[in-house]
Amino acid sequence: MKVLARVGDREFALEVSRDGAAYQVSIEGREAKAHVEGHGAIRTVTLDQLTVETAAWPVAAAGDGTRGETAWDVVAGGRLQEVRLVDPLRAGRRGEDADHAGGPTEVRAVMPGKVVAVLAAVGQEVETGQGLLVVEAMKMENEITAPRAGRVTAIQVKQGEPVDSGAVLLTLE
Amino acid sequence: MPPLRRILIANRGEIALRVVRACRDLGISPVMVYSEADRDSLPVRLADQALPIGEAPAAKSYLRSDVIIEAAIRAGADAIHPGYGFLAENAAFARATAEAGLVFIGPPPEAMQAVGDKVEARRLMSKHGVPIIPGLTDRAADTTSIAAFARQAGYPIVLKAAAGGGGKGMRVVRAEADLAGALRMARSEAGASFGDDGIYAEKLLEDVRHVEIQILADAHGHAVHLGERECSLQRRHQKLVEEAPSLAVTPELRRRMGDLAVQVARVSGYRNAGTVEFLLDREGRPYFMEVNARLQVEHPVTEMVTGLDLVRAQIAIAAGEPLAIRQEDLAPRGWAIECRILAEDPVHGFRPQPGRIRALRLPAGPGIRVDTALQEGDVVSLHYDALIAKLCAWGADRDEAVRRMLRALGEFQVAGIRTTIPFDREVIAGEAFRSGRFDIAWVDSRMDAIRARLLESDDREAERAAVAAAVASFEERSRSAADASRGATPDAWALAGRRAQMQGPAPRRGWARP
Repeated sequence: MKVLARVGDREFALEVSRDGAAYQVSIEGREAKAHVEGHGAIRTVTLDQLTVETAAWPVAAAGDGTRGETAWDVVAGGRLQEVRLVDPLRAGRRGEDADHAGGPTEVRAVMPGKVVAVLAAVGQEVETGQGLLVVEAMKMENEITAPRAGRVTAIQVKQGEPVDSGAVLLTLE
Repeated sequence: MPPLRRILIANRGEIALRVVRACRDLGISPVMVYSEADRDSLPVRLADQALPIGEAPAAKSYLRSDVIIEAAIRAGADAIHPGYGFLAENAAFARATAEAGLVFIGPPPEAMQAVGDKVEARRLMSKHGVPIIPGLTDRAADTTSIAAFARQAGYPIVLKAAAGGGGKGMRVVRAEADLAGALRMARSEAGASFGDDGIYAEKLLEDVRHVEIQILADAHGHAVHLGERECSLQRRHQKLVEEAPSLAVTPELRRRMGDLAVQVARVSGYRNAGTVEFLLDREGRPYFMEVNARLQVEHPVTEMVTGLDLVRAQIAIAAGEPLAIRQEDLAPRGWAIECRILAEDPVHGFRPQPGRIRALRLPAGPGIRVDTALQEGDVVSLHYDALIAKLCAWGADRDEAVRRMLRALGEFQVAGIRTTIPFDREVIAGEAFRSGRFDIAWVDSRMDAIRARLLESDDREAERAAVAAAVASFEERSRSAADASRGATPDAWALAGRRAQMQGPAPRRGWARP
C-alpha cells in the first residue's frame, strides 16, 4: 500500500507491506521493519529498535473531506498527532482542484449538535476566521468559523435545528 | 431515624458510580435510574435495580423530578442521592422528595434557597461579618446603581446573575461605555439560563486564587470544616485541576477561612456536605464568593488528604447521625491533585468530542485513584457534560503527588476520542504549576502557548506517528478485504443494532437483581 502521510507541515511518502508477523515499511526511500504488537486501538510500534506505545484511530474527516484522504489521531508518549493519509494517486488531483480555487466550499458540522445561532447571512462577504454559526453540543457552545474568505451563497440550517456530524451547514463561494 | 436501607441515585456517569460504591461500602442497596443513552452504563450494571426514566436529553430524563420520585417509591427506596448537577441544587426537588416521605441526601431546601440567590447570600454574609467581594448587595434595576458603584470602586467590574453560576450571565465590563450593552446581554443570558434575569455587580478581582472550604454539618448543630481545595486552574470559569491543600494557605489562614465557612453554614441553616467558595487575594485576604449546596466534583482530593469518605458522611448526616469527627482531629495529611479528564479537544479550543471509546487503559498503582464510569465501547454522548474521568494522585508531599500524577497521565490511554490528557500533562509538568505561581487567569492567558506545544513534534515523533497511522490503516483495509472475501456478514452486534433500529428500542422495563 502506497500512501502519503501528512503530519503538521511534514509529509512522508510511505509504502507498507506485510512481512510475516511484521511490516516492511519504506519511508522516504529508506527501508525499515516495523513491528506492531497488540490488537484494538492501543498498539506498540517498534521502528529502528525504538518501541513506542501508540493509540491510533481513524477520525471522521472534518471540513474538506477530500476523497481518498483519511484522518487519523495518533497518541504516543502523551503527545497527540494528527496524521492525514492521502492516496498518492489522488493527491495530484487535489492539487488541481486547488488551482480551480473559487469553487464552492461546504462548511460542515464537525460534531452532532444543535444550531443555536446563525451569525452570517446569504450574500454576505466573510473573512477567514469570521464566525458563521454557533452549534451547541455537550453543554458547550462552539463557534463555527469561515475556513476561507468568500461570499455566503447558501445557509442550509436554521436556528434551533439539530444537525448530524458531517452535515453541510453553509456554502461559501 | 432508622438507618437507610435503599438509596435511589438520581444521576449518571462517574458520580452515580461513586454513590453506588458508597452504598455498597455501607451495606445499603443502590438503585439507579437511567436515560436511554445510559442503559448499558457501569453504574446501572452495578446497581441492585435500575429504572428507565426517559430519553437521552436531560430535560426528558435526569431533570424530571416527578418521574424520579415515582421511581424511588416504586423501587422501595427510602432516600434519594442527587449527585451533582441536574437536580442537586433544586430546592423544589428537595422539598418534593421530603413530601413524598423520602430522605433527600443534601441540604434542607430552605438552606439551599438562602445560599442559592447570590444577592441574598451576599447580604446575609455581609450582615454576619463574612467579608464579601466589594459590590452591590441589591439587584440592579438599571445601569445607574452599577455605574455609581463602578465610579467609586473603579473598573473593571463584573456583572453576575443573581440566580446563577457556571459563568452564565456573567460579563466583564472595563469601561462605562460598555456597561449598557453588557447589562443587556447578561440579563438575556441569565433569563434564558435560570428563568430569572436579576443581575448584580462586583469589582473584578483578577490576580486572585480560587480557594474553597469543604464543610460538614449535621442535624444536631455540629459543623466542621475539612480544609481547603485550590481550584485556580480554570478555563473560562470551568475548573480543570484542583489540589488539596493549597500552597497559598498557611495553617493560620486555614483556621480563619475554616471558621468563616462554618459561620456561613450556621447563618444559612446549612446541613450535610457543602462547599464555601472564596477568592483569595495576594495579601491572603479571603472574600466570600458563593456556597455550592452539594457534593463537589473535586471532593476526592479532600478525601485523600483527610482519609474521610464524604459520600458516606452525607448519607450518615441525612440519616440523622451526629458527626463522628471533631475539628481538632482534622489536619491535611500529604498532598492530593485532581485532573478532570474531559471529552474535549485541547488543540481545537476544547471542542466537544462525543464518540465511541475504542480502547481504554486506566492508570493505577500507589497513590492513584480514578473515578470514572467509562468502559471500552461506551459512547460519550453529546447530551451530557464532557467530564469522563477524574484522575487523582496522592503523595506524602506535593512533589510526590506531582510525579505520581505525571506517571498516571502517561499510563492513561483513551482511543477513539480526544481528551484533555495531553493538556493536563503540559500544565502539571510546567514551571508555573511546579512553583505554585498561578492565579485564576493563568490558564486563559497561557492557552495559545500551551496549544502550540501540544502539537509540537520532532522529526522522529512525526515519522513514528506516520508509520503508526499507515500500518493501522493498512490493517483495517486488509481486515475489511478479508471480511468481504469470506462473504462475511456484519457481526452479530451490528445486526442486533440494526434490528433494534427497525423495531424501536428494547422494552423499557428496567430490571432488578434477583
